[in-house]
Order: sequence, then structure tokens, then C-alpha cells
Amino acid sequence: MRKVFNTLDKVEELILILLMTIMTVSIVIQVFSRTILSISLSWTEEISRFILVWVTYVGASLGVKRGAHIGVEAFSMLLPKKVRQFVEYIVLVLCIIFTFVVFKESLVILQTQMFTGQKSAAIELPMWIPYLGVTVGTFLMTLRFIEQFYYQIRDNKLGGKI
Amino acid sequence: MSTLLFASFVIIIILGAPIAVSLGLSSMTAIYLGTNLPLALIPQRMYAAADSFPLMAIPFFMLAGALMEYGGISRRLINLADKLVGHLTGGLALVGIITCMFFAAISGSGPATVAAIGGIMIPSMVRAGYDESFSSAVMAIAGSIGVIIPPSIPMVTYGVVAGASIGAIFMGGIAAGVVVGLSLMIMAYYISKKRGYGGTSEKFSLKEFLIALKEAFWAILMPVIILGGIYGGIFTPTEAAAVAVAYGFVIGLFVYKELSFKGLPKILVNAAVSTATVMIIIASASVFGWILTSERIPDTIAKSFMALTNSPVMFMLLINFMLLIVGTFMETNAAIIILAPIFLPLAVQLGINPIFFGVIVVVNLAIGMVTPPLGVNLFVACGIQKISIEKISKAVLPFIVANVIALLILTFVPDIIMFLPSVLLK
Repeated sequence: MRKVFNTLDKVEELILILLMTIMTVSIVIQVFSRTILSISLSWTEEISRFILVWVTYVGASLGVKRGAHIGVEAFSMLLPKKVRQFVEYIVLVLCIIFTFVVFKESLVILQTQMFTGQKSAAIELPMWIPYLGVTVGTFLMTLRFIEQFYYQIRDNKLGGKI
Repeated sequence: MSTLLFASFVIIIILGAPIAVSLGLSSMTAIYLGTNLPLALIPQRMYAAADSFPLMAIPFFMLAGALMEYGGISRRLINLADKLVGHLTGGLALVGIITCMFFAAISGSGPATVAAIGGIMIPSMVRAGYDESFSSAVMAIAGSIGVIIPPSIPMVTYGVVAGASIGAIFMGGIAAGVVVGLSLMIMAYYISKKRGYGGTSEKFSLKEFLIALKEAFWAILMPVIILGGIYGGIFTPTEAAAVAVAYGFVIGLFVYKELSFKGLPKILVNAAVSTATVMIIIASASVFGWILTSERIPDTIAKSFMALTNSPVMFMLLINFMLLIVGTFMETNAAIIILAPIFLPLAVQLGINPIFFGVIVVVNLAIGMVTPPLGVNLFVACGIQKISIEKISKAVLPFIVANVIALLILTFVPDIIMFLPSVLLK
């Protein structure tokens, strides 16, 4: 289990490094080409917008792992330990429900996009490819929240023994 | 249906779920139980929110700030501020605030500013005999200037939802940031005098100041390029942010030589995750906001607001009051996405400039970054010196008062904010 998730960390990191690099380089090329060469490119803006979608959802998955998604913890901190642990489980279940339903519903959009064969304006990329970012990202987030759930159970058990 | 939306949102957020999930899941509940609309609407809206060229300024400004920080910029800016005000009473506190103002011109994020400058300043203030909670509180609130002085991520978000010029809002943020910074410095000076915090022993020396200025020159040039490029019409804010990344990369790698290719992957991943946590909040807030609009909630709120007052001054005071409350519970960008479409039309109707309105909104929500229960800057500052949230919350109070006074001055004298935008955009 742990090994699978460690591999997932590496894969997500690699994807993010690549995407961030391509996105930055595209826009720098766009500025350079317009201001210095006086050539306006049409592909750079479109491709980097699609990359931003992917960065958002894949990055959000790694964000779950790193505990980077902020929430209001002031109220749950006031609860007694046992109750708080229970509330933490509920929160993770809610997170799993949300990301899973978004994942499932994004399949509907994906299907429609594939069926209609819609393409992007500038580079004529099939539109299901940028949309796939939401699907992949929310699927990974679901896995990540399950991972957190697993750690939570393990930690609570350990905490009980000590 | 809107009752369902708000009730489920409040419950989920109190349980402690991430903001993005609270906004998204409450929207999901409202759509599923309260309408016949398909749930596929949610990924649809969430995709559309992220597929945005203006919002791409967010990852670029995150990246530019991180590159400059790893490149050794924080230390040079602190040194410059030290030579400027270090010798005064409460010297280190003033140095911390001024450095945050400098760094704010490179970074667009509050917590990132606290981490970059507070990470160095809080420990050195404590070493110099300053109280732990005072030091942490000063740096937490000074970090909020990160979103007031341009570039600013919340200002980008506001520009996108309000359809206002991001460049003009940036320009309005400069004077606002200076006023807020001054209010904090006056308060820090006053408290330091009372507690007997001295300055660093050296007297002001023009020569040393000029040396420090030369050292920090390349860092200070960055905001000049960003803002100059936007106002000169050379590039859009997003393009300016990408140029800032390229600039930060070259300066860190070849001029300051503290950045290495080996460190790059980590910087890229960190910037991507910071971007994603903001973007996903924006995405789910846009679903939430969409439901409000489709339910005509903005109209209802607008009507009740108009029944209360039709004086622009009273309106702005009410807005300030409401935003201060909202800012304590809500993440900055989410608050902007949800509230701007509700209140901006009203403001415009009362003759209030959308640029002015945007800057005031951001100054308000910046205060929300240091008020519990959701004070992101407080959490970062607490993490640096390992002190409790209760202690820092108490120590930050006088500074919040100073900030609110600054906010009122900015509200009543709109020319302070509007001077630069109106001169430059003529």
C-alpha cells in the first residue's frame, strides 16, 4: 500500500514539474515572439490554459498528501479527543464522497466530448484532453483521501496502544 | 435551496473539512436535493474556472516569488531595510515590516511573505530580546501586505470576476500597501517604545545604505519590470508574471548564484501545489457562486442593502464591516469569487469606482488573514517559532486596530488609492 502511494508521489511530482516548465516556457516564448519578433502566436496561450487545468487538479491531489488544503480547525480542536477522531473520519468520508462524485460526473462530460469530437480553437486538440485533467485529478484526490483515511486509522490505533 | 446551500456549507466547514471541499460538497448537496439539474454541472463549472488565462498569473507569481526567495533575495532585502530603519526604536520590528513591503512587490501571496521574511526575522527578533508572541504577530500581519502591494493573487482573482483591469487594481494597491505598512510601523514603534525594545546599535550611514541598495538592486528591479511592462502595454499581467519567473531564474542562477538546477524540481512542485490549493478553492467557489446567481440571491441581497442605505459612504462602511467578519471565516479568494458579483453592481450603481472597490475588498480580506479561526498568516507564523495560536492572536490585536484605522482612512480618502491608477491610465 505504502509503496504504491510513494510511487504515486513521484509520478505526480514528475507530471507537475513537466507541466509547470512547459507552461512557463510557452508564455515566455509568446512574449518574446510578440515583442521582439513581432509574431503573435496562437498556440501558446491555449496550450498553457489546458496545462493550468491539469496543474490545478493533479497538484490538488499532491496537496492532499501534503496536508496543504486549508480548513477551519478551530472548532473541531475544542472537541474531546475521542469525538475529534470520529469527526476527522467523517470529514475524510465527506472529502471522498465529493471528489468521487466529481470524478464520476466528469466521465459524463468526457463521454460527450469524445462523442461530439469537439476540438480546441487554435491547436485543434480534442477537447476531452483538457477535460481529462479534472477526471484524473479528482480520481487521484479520491485515492489520496482514502490514503489519509488509512493513515488516520493506523495512527489512532497506535495512539491507543501507547 | 439557498438555505440548503448555506446550512450544509456551515456544517461541513465547522467539522473542519478543507474549504474547497466545503464549498463544493455544499453546492453538490444543494444541486442534488434542491434542483433537477444534472450533477455534471459541477465538473463542468470547475473545469471552466480553471481554464483561464488571467488566473495563470497565480502559478507564475508563486514561482517567481519562490525563485527569488531561494535565490537569496530575502536576506538582501532585510539587509537593505536594516540599514534604513534598523537604528530606530523597535528597529527589528520596523525592519520586518519594511522588508515585507519590499517582498510584497515580488510576491503575490500573504502566507508566502510570512514564510519568506518571518522565517528569518522572527527568530532574530527573539534572539535580540523581543517577546516571542509580539515578534510572530508583527510578521504575521506584515505578511498580509503581500496581497496588497502588487503583484497580488487576490487582486488577480478580483480582476477576473469583476471584469476590471488587473493592471489598474495593482496600481491602486501600491498606495494602499504603503498606508497599511505605515499604520503597522507606527503601532510597532509605539509598543516597542513602551517595552523598551531598542534599535540595532549602529547609526544610519548613507554609505552602508547605498551598498545594501546596490546588493538588492536586482531584486528591486523585478517589480519595476513587472509593473512597468503592464502599464507600458508591453504585456498582460499573466505575461508579466511569466517574465518575472524568467527574470528570477536568471538572477538567482547567474547573478546571486544561490539558486541551482538541482533545487529547481522542488521549487516547481511546491509552486504547483500552492497554485493548486488556491485554484481548487476558486473552482469550487465558482460552483457555489453560480448557484447563488442562478437563485437570484445577489438581487435579494442588493435590495435589502439598498433599503438600508443609498449613501456611498454608509455603503462602504457596511461593506467594510461585513468583509471583516467574512474574512475571519472565509478564504480570501473564495470570498472574492462569491461576494464580488453580489456587491460590485451595487457599488457601481452608487458611483463607486470598481478599481477602488477592489482594492478596499483586498485590504479588508488581508486583515482576515490574521484573524482566527481562519488566519492563514497566523498559522504560518506560529509554525516558525512554535507558539500557540492563542498567544499570537492576543499579540496581533493592537496591529489589527492599526490596520482597521488605515482601512478607514483609505475608505474616506479614495484619492489615496485612485491617484496612481488615474494618473497612469489616462
